[in-house]
Amino acid sequence: MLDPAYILEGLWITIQIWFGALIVSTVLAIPVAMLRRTKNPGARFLGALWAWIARGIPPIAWLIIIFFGLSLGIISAVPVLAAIVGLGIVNSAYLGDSIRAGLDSVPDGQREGAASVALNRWDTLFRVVLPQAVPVMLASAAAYSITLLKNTAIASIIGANELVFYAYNAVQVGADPLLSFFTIGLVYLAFTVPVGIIARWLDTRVRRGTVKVAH
Amino acid sequence: MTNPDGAPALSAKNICKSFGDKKILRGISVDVAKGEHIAIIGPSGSGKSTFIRCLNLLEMPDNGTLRLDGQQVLDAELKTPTRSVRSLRKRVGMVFQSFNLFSTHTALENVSLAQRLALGRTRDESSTRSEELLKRVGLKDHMDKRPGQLSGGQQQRVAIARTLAMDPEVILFDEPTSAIDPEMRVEVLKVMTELAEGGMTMMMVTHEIEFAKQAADRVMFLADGEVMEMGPSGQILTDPENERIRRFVNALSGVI
Ligand SMILES: Nc1ncnc2c1ncn2[C@@H]1O[C@H](COP(=O)(O)OP(=O)(O)O)[C@@H](O)[C@H]1O
Ligand SMILES: [Mg+2]
Repeated sequence: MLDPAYILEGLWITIQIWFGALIVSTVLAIPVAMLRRTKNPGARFLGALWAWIARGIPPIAWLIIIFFGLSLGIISAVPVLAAIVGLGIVNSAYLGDSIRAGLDSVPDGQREGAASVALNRWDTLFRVVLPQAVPVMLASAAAYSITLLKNTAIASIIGANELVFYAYNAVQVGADPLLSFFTIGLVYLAFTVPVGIIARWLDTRVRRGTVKVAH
Repeated sequence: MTNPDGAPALSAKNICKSFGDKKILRGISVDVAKGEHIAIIGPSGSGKSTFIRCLNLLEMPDNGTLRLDGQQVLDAELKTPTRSVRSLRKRVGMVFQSFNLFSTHTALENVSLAQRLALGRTRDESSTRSEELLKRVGLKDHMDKRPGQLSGGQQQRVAIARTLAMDPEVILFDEPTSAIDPEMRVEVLKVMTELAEGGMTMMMVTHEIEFAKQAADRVMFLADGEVMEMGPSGQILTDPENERIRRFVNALSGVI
């Protein structure tokens, strides 16, 4: 039988990896999206290159590369940290697309309107562009974050003691495999379903135009 | 127009602009006296929008100089504005064809935002001013609505109020009524007429011939990026000598 205490412990690690990777990917995705939106062809290429590499390699390969890459260094490899960095890199490519699509969804006229009344770049971004772009970004970012959460299961391969890790270990010592994985499946659903509903809700709101008025 | 203290409100000399290797503006010059109203007309694609956008540096001219009240604000041969672009834009207002109101903000916030952020007015000062301006353009009952809840004519009046709130020395209009349903245009034109009568210096791209006859002192006819003719509105809009301008004006007036 899979011990509920282990489920909680595994869930805690799963959430750490999930949130950690979300933060890492946000930090990486902002410059990537900015590079891909500049006029400079070199910078655009660099941003595109990052996106190709980040999502062109399977997440499991990223985790193993980071994990053993880290263990070559001075610090001994920490599986959770390696999972956070590896999944953060993968998700940064998708999140970069969300950010870019959000910024692109704001018509040029909004920026010109702001320029015409002498707003500076900072105020234009934070007061005019982002209030319109963020809901668009969040709608797709929420959908990607579901994929990210499910990908945290891969971290068990490098020994991160998240949900799958505990379920697998319980099976090794005699727990029923179906029941164990069905149980943690329900735990994942408890997160993916609400986030999915939020993503859908944001998406319809954006499409309905309560957020964005097209001109 | 009389010009009490010498310098024109706005003086543009030899404004040139190309997109790629396509020459759009081939050296346009104009002096706009204080309180003067100039209408810009011409076929579509002749460069009217590009020219007017060069005057507040939404487009950076490739060549030419720009002076505001005698002060040089752009020497395009040096490729850099001699003063900050933002300080120029505080002094030269712009009203767009498609309004370009901030879509997530209410009418009141649209008018207040730049007063606070660009002019440093307090929240109270800016709100009071915005309310007063929105009343003046007939939108007393619509201050808390977002652009999406307003008609085109109402949005354009908010946009005019937003520009007026900056206390500009000159206001540029780029076909302010062409994206508005005909029956809603009159209220926008009424606001513009009031502004003109109040002595505001205005440059307006417009194809509203009757309005231009009444409100414009001079008319500039642009064709292929050049000033084909510039003269008193009464003459150009009622009895143009140039055959091409005559055909254009007649077509706009519905005369065949
Ligand atoms: N940003 C731009 N890039 C390339 N071409 C442009 C741009 N803006 C305008 N043009 C071109 O410049 C010409 C003049 O445009 P515009 O100034 O909008 O004319 P008008 O307002 O008189 O109709 C058109 O041929 C248009 O396609
Ligand atoms: Mg135009």
